[in-house]
Amino acid sequence: MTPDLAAIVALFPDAELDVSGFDLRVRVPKESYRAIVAACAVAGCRLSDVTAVDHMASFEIVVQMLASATHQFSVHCMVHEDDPRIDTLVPVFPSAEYAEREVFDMFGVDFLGHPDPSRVLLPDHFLGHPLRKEFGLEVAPW
Amino acid sequence: MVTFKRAEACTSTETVLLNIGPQHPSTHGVTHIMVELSGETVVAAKPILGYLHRGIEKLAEYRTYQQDIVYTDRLDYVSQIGNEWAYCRAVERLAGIEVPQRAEYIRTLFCELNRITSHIMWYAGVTMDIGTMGTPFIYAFKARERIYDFFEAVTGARMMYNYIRFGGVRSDVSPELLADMHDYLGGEFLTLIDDLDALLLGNEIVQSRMKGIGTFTPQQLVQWGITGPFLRASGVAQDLRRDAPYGAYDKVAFNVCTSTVSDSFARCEVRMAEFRESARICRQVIESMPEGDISVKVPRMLKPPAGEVYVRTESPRGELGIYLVSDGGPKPYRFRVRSPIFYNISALPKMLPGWKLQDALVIFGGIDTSMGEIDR
Repeated sequence: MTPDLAAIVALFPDAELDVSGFDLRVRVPKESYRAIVAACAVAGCRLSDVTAVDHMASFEIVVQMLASATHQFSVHCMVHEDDPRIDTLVPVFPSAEYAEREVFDMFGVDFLGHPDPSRVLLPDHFLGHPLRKEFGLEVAPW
Repeated sequence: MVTFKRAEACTSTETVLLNIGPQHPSTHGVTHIMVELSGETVVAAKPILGYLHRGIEKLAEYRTYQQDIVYTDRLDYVSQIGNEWAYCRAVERLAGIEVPQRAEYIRTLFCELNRITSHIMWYAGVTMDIGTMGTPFIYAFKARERIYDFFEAVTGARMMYNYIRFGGVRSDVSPELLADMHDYLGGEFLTLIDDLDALLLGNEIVQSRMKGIGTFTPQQLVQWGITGPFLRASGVAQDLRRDAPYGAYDKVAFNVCTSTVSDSFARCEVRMAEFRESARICRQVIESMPEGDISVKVPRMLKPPAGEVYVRTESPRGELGIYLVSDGGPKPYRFRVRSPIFYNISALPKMLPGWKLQDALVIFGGIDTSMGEIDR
């Protein structure tokens, strides 16, 4: 039984459903980001991946989720560059822990309430966040 | 007169930090796990990742779509075709490219051959983990070398194939080679797998080391983000080849191998069964291979329309996802790999505590790591 996403999204007036892409996309502001993912989890959705995209002035946190084995959708949340903080998903999905550490490592987005907010792939003394667009390949900061 | 301490005072000792790796012989690459031991019991574990980090996701943003195919080979470097295929599927979906039937069959064939060679690496690794000094390793590599000969005949390379192209594959497979593969996978290979099966699963030492070790409930594993054979061994019949078929998987008959025991031994049984299922898929694909083109014409400087796509495939280690964002230019705006082993290994801190050190290595062997994909 596939959870009814439209019904879940309807519970959050600030969330919108985007059907223009290949898969369904749910766009939410920062405030209701974790609440909507938690509502999906209660309805039986699984987490596939947490990642981010740098749009210069802001970061887009992308949570890939599965409503069933074949039905995938994603939750998108914009985080402004000046205040790169967002709630962690670890209390909802424990498997998000390392993926969120990687987003912190590569983009410098802080996850509030994360149990281990540290770098995961790069050494602790590394300067900068390499998947940010301003981090060029030409100039190494060390 | 000798006095003895009371028993309970003796059993609580200080904990010891032990580094497993990064250069331990049984660590499958450069794995580094820091474990805290109380006596021989693990009380905490933490994988320390990144020794093989090459920044592939960043490099991919600086190359064209076509040039990025070679990077995908180097993600999980024992299951290269699976990675190439996942990436090419993502780009094809984004750009709306139709793939000819013959190409889909060839991709399925080589992906399954690659699954066999990848599982052979698991076999070699897990037997090393429990202390065999290379005999099963070398026996299993007999099949791997033979299958790599097939790869070499078609792609020209034994490891980094760079074979799959947008809209097809790079070169065709001759009927003689297909007949040769069919003979091998229906005869000699199955005999070898029977031998390997008896050598591993029939071995009393292996049974006593693995049975009842690393028992986790399916609910725990799903919550920890585990996918692939590790999850299937706990009774969850989750396999994207059947659930969301791609390539020619919907045209062949195969079983999703599961076990309900959910211990380290069951994980071995599932993978041993998958050898045979993969060979069965290969034989069916060869028998029903259609004639026709192996690729369609795709612009050399491919510019997929702006948009994003997330494609999931079943790699030998679990759910491999490729997330691509295009801004309409010749290079990907964002290239993200959802690595199955990154998620599987991140569950080690939850899995290992409570088990003895020697059991921890057996549980770790069941994950079948490939550091190239974890560190990217």
